[in-house]
Amino acid sequence: MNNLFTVYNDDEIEIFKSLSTHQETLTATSKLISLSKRISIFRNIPETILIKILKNIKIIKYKKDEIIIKENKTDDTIHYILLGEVNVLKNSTIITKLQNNTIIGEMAGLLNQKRTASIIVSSNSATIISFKIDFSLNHSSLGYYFSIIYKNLSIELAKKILNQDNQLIKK
Amino acid sequence: MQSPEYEKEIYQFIESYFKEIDYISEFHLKFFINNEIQTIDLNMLLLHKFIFQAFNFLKNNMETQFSRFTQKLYQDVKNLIEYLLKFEKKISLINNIFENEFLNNLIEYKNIKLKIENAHRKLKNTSVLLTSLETQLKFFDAKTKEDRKEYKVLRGRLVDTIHNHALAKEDISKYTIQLNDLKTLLKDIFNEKFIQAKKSYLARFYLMINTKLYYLNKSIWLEANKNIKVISYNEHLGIQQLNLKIYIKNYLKHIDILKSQNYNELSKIENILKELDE
Repeated sequence: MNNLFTVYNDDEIEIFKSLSTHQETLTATSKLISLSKRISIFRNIPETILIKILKNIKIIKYKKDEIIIKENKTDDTIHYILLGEVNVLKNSTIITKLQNNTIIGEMAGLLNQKRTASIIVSSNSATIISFKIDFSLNHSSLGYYFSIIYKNLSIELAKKILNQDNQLIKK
Repeated sequence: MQSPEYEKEIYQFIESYFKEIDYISEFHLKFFINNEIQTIDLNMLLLHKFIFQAFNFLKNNMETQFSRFTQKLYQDVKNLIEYLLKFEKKISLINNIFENEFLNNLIEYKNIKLKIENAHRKLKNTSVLLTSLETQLKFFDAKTKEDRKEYKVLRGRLVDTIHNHALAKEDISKYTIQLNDLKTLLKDIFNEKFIQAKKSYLARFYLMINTKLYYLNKSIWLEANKNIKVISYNEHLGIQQLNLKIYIKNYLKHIDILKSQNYNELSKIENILKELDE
C-alpha cells in the first residue's frame, strides 16, 4: 500500500511542469516572443506575426555532452541558447564555442539544408528554445514578413562572412 | 419493507468499498492541483503496455540510464496500474459483492438466514423424532392400563411433533420468501448505486493515472531523443524524433489488424494516437 503514495520533491515537480504541453507551449512561446527583439532574424517582425509563423516552440534542458544538432542531418528546427555553452563540431573537431543568447541552426532552418556542423552541450547543462518557422503559411500579408526574415538572414550571413574575413586577415 | 432505510446501508457499504481507491486518487490529484500541474484527459491507460514496453526497450538499448525522475515515475505508474487492475477485477463481479459482502453483513438479512437455519434444524429434529415415534407406536403392545396411558402420551407427542414439523416447513417457506423478497428489493438498487459509484470513483483514478502516464511517456521520449544511439536510429529510419506514435505504428505494422481478434482495441489505440501530440 505504501508504494502507491510516491512523493515528488520540488525539482521533480518542476520537471512535471516542464512536461506539461499546454504550460510548456505557453511558457516557451511567451519566452521566445519576449526575446524576439534580441534575435537578429526577427528584426522588424511584429510580435503578432511571430505568433502566427512560429511553430513547435519548446524549451528543452540538455545535460552535458547531449547533442542538440547532428552534422549532416536534415531538419529545419532553429535553436536559441537561453543558458549554457555549446561546442560547434565539424568532422568531430571543435571549431568554435557558443554561449547564451545565440541563435543556432538558422541556416538549415530557413534553407532546409543538411546540418553543416554538430552542436553539443559543453557546460553542465544548457537551456535551449527550439522552434520552426512555418513558411508553408499561405497568406498575402505574411509574404512581406517572410521577405524581411530572408533579408535579416542575409545580413547575418554577410556579418558572419565579414567576421571570418577579419579573422583570416588577423592570422 | 421500506427501501430507503436500506439505501442508507447500501450507500455506507459502497462508500467504504471505494474508500481506499478514492483516497489514492485524492492523494495524487491534490498533488497535481497544489502544484498547478495540468491533468490530461486522454485514455493513455489503453497505451500503458506500449509505454512500459518502450521504457524497457530503451532502457536496455541506451548506453545512458533514464533520469532518476523518469525511473521513479515509471515505478510509481506501474504500482498504481497493478493496483487498478486488481481492483477492477475485484469489482467486476457485482453479484458476488452483493451476496457475499453486502447481504451477508446486513443485520436483517443475517437474521432471516438464521431463522431459516433454525427452521431447518427444527425440521430435521422433528423428522427424526417423527420416525422414532411412529416406529414406537407401530410396535407398541398395550397390555396394561399403564401401557395404554403411555401409548396415549406417545400419540400426543406424535401429534405435537407433526404440528412442529409442519410449522418448521412453513417457517422455511415463509422466511425463504422473505429472504428472496429482500434480495430482489435490494439487488436492483444495489446494482444501480454500485455501477454509478464505480463509474465516478474510477473516473477520478483514470484521470490521475492517465495524467501520470502522459508525463511518463513525454519524459521517456524527451530523454531518449537526446541519446546518441536513438539519434542514430532515427537517422537510420529517416525520422526527426522517435516517439510513441512511431513505436506503436511500427508494432501495428506487424499485425494484420483486420484479422486481429482485438480489432476494436486497435481502432481505439489508433484514435488515441491521433490525439497525442508529437
